[in-house]
Amino acid sequence: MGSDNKVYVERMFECAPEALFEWLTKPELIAQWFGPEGFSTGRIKNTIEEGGSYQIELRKNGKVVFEIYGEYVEINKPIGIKFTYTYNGLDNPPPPSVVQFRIFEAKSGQAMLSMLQEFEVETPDFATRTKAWKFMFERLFQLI
Amino acid sequence: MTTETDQTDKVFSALADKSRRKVVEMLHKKDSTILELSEAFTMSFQALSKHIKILESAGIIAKKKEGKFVICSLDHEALKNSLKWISYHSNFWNESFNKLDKLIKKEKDGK
Repeated sequence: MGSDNKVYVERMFECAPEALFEWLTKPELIAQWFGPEGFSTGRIKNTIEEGGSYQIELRKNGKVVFEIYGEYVEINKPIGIKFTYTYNGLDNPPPPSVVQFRIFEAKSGQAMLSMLQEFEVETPDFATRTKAWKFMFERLFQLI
Repeated sequence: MTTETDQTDKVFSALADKSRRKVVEMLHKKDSTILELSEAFTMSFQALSKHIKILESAGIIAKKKEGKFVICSLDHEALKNSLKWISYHSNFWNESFNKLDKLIKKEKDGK
């Protein structure tokens, strides 16, 4: 689901919130799932603490295509993490964003993960600045 | 060859500038000549022309000659691709979480 400057994804996982938190924070575990189809991770470094940094290389066909880096803004083990999300290595990188993971215990042995990614400028700026822009985006969304 | 991603990068880069966003807003209301657009800015005609060139290169606006005048208009297709870029990130997370889901299930089955 996406709206204006936000990307929102919810997913249920068959594990406890504590285990899910580990998957989201330990480099050797992040390495196994992070990135879309066709990409694999390269070097991953992180310091899990508020103000700590992280860096994730993304590779395609063995070559580093770009990296994502940022800073942990909030760490609330095992229910949430908030971090900045910036691209490096692209000529015209996408705008910076902030990603927020929230973990809820749905029922015993199941954890719900919500991911909200909010972009800082560009599209949101256009969507909210004037009524004319809102109208235009509504029309464009209908076209897509 | 310019890919859709390259084009989207160009669009975001072009729209990062406040003056260029203002040009796009004005063209959303109506097609205009550069002279008409320049009336809304304090910058020089030359500086505005440079901004227009960047928007044109990103495919956001198109220019056509009508008699003595060059008319600028908005190309909605380029902006449509930018919105697709948002859905790219949605796919990014969905595909990542699909992998995570498989790993967690595999680990659970292995126990």
